[in-house]
Amino acid sequence: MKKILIIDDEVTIVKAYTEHLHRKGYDVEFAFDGREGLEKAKKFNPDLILLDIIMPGMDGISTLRKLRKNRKTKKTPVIILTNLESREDIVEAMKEGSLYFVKANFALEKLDEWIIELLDSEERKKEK
Amino acid sequence: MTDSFLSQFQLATFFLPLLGLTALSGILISVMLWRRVLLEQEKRAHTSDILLKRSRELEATKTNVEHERDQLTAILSSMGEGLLVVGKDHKTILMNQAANILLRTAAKETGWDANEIFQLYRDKSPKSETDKLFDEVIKEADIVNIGLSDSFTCKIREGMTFPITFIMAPLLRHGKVIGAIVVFRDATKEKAVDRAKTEFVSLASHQLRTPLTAIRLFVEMLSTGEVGELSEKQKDYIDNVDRSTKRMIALVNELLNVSRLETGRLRVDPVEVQLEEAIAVILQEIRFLAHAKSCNIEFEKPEKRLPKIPIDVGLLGQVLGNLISNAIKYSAKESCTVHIKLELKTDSKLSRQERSVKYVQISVQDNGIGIPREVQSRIFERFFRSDNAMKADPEGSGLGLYVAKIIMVTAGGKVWFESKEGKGTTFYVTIPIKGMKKREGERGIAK
Repeated sequence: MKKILIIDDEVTIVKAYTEHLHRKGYDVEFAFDGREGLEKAKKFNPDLILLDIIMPGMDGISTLRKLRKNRKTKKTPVIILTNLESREDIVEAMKEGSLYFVKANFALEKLDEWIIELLDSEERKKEK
Repeated sequence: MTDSFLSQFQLATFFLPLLGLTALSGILISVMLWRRVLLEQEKRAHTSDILLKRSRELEATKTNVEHERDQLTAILSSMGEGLLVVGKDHKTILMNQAANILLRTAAKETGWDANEIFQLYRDKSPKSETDKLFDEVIKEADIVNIGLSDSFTCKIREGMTFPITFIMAPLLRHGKVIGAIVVFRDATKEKAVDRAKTEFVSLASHQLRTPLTAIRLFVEMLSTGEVGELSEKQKDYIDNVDRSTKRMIALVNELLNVSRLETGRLRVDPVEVQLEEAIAVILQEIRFLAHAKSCNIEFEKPEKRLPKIPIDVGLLGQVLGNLISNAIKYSAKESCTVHIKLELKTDSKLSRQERSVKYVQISVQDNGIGIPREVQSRIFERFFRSDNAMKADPEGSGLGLYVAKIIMVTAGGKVWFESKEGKGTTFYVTIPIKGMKKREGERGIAK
């Protein structure tokens, strides 16, 4: 079972994603801020991370940088959950190697496609 | 004796009329002389009348001029904004009271080197741009408009600085540039208000959009049947909730855009593009909407290929998107055709010398419901919607044209329209041939 970690400070949004991904057959873990997210990432060792940008304390971009520095999570694919179209944030996230962004009007169906696509490509990399 | 008498008589008959004539001519001459003197006197009196009248007129003009000067001085000195006038050499010719207070210079003192008392710094740049800006205005007869978002500071002679906003324009006499005028203000307070507004907007956008996103996620899970099949009625209701939520998210985005536009934080980032191609790409995105409404979109390109010009394609896309989606929305479904035409134009209202000034015009023509004459002047107002538009599309926000207008004005272009109720509307967007004006700002447009 593929493992997905959700890092977002909004309880209802975390609930929505968690339940949806559960039903899609993933093992889901969640964290409500960046610090907790980093700890869970080390323990849970996810195959993919959904990460919110605006969070109190450590924000999404700083969390992403720290994830990239950690040996275990260095190459884990990250999908950014963003409510704001701040180009600066997007550029920063892209610098850290995340090319997937989920916006407010985004369909869950599309998210599902992306998750499958990213996990498949990771699988192919491992096989090589 | 008789002879002598005769000869005397003859002499007399000869000389007497002569004498008479002489006397007569004497009288005539004196009469003429008198007349001349009289005329001369009359003329002199007339001249002195004229002179008197003239001098009275002059006096009145002088009073008027003095009055106007006093009025102008009063206006200039009671102006809240600082006013600074410089000659071609960038030396000050005139400063009003506010300028003297803001720049700490003595009243009535002129001949300052502008860069000595009025140093302008862009953002955090260490180099004063005063001379560069004056040169731009004087040599190119250009108007420079620096708003809050351009983040300029002014450094005065005593070394103090303040955030500044200003408009710099050429000073013209008989059509020739003889210097430059700057109207400026200390933007310290505005800056603080702007910061508060920025914080509020970012807070509001996050706080509004987050719950909306949550609603949308749960609604989507319900409507796809992920958590169990819904009855037809339930499905119908949930679809309504879904549509409304999406509309609300779109509205929040539009409000955010408006807020960004109004605080002047919109970034204009032009890059050189082939406009024909850029528009074709923009139309690709809209064709989807057009197809759903079975509307025909035509694109007429100019006969000669246009040169590449600097355009912020995202912003132009937003403007054309708003205009074209309006054209589609307000057309009858059976016969909807939107004609988009791109052409290079010269301004016929300008003098022959200036007529080389070219611009690019994009027109969006529809055969829809048109804009009623009585509301045409209000059509670009925020939230304004005409009755017929409301009937045709009850869900519109009344922000599309307002956003289009602000974007075009910010980017240095124009947007206007011609319309006849029941016949259709043509919107025109023009961009100068030198392209959109680059503008630093916080953000682009939210979609």
